[in-house]
Amino acid sequence: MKVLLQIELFKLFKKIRSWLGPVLIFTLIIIAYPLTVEYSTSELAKSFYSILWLGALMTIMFSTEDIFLEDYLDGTMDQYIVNNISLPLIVFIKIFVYWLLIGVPIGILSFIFALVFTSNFESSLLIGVISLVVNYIYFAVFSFGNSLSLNKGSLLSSLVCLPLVLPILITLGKFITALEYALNFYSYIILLLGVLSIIITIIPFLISFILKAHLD
Amino acid sequence: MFKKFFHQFASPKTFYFVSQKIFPYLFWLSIVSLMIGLIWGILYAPVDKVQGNSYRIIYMHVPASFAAQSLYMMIAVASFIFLIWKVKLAAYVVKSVSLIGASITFLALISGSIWGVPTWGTWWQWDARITSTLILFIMYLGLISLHNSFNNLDKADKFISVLALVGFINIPIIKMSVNWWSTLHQPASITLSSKPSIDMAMLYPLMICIFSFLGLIIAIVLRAIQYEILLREKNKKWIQSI
Amino acid sequence: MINMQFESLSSLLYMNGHGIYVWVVLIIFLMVITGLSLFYKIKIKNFKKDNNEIN
Repeated sequence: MKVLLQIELFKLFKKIRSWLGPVLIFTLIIIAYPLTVEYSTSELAKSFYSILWLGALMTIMFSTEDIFLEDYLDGTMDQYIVNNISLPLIVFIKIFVYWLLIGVPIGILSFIFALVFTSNFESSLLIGVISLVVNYIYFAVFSFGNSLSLNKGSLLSSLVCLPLVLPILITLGKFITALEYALNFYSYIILLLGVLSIIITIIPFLISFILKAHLD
Repeated sequence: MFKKFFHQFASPKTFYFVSQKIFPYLFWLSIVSLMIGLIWGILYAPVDKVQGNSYRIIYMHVPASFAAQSLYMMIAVASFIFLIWKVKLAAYVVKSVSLIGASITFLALISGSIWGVPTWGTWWQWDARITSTLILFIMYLGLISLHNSFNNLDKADKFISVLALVGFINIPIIKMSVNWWSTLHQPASITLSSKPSIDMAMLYPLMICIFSFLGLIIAIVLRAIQYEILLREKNKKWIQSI
Repeated sequence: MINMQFESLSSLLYMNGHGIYVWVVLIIFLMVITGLSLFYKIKIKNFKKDNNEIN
């Protein structure tokens, strides 16, 4: 498994445009946001968090575009199935590598930007951690969407899977409200961690079922 | 013994001929009772104290939303049957019902939105039920577009079944989470356990409308599945001799 | 007739100002139902016509 992890990490690392691009786009969105609002601290803070979460969502949706495409096109996926290598494991490693190279930098950047906008260290740390958790969920769901329309190479199914992540956005909104009014926000963190645990285990099996159906 | 009884329904040919027989009675009976329910509701039911006469849209809006959610339930059960037991007829059900479901959800959204204008003064509101219905509509559209984007029909069937099941798990989650978020829509007036909070004189035409609309939709679904069977099994002998 | 809520045709159409909403929704409702019923009927008829031409 270590070898597979290293191979996938190396493959994605080499395609600089695939992982650096989304991170830079996210940075650009957050930096451009204050320019669209008249400078006034209270007005910025009102919808800053929404832009943060939505920017992460959109960036991740567009960055998972070719997560399975190359392997499907050049026959590596066939080799995995023929040699009886466990396909769920491969899918899990791919999603994990994408999360490592795109999701974690977005999480760190969310922490930094939250610190800049609110100057409150603890809440920014919480936002960074939540962003890490939520990014993994986005990667898993949009990879699922991507695997449905693999041979067409379009974003159609990722868009269709957008309604599946809307409850996450609603939970994030309630989390921010709880944070601002110093209510009990631990429940939302536990909820998101619960969703993450279900997603980590189920999605690789779902996606490997779909990939096998593509290749038959 | 039960296996044989259920297995005979898995054959498209049996389904086609049985539904051919049932369809006229179901369709015309539902149309007549729907007309009775609507005329009773619009002309004879008493005026509401708070909302005035515009509450009469309820006789069209509630049957449509109820039917939209039941159709999604039908799709979920059919995709489950297709994935586990590989019954081809279930795949035809999923494909044909998704179009009908999309139109009915669209009807529910439009009627609800027009009802909102005299009642709340606004065309749209981001509250629990409206947002969940909108997401249901988007999921139906997703099912239709996903099926149309494949040339190989077997693959397409498998994929929309998987998507329908994943969406089915998500619908109660969306319902619960948007419930936390805000509630403007009236809470349910008709529940199974407590006495209904809507007046009896308004309740009777409403129940007639709901059940007859459901019957009408099932008749249309039967016809849609017949069409799907004709399309897909074009080369079989029994179709060529119709 | 027994206990109709509206005295005359014009009050039925107007319904104290709420009439337009009810009638618009009713028209859309009937259009969608007839559209759905006729859509499949026409498609099946065309299919049977093509089928009989081929055989």
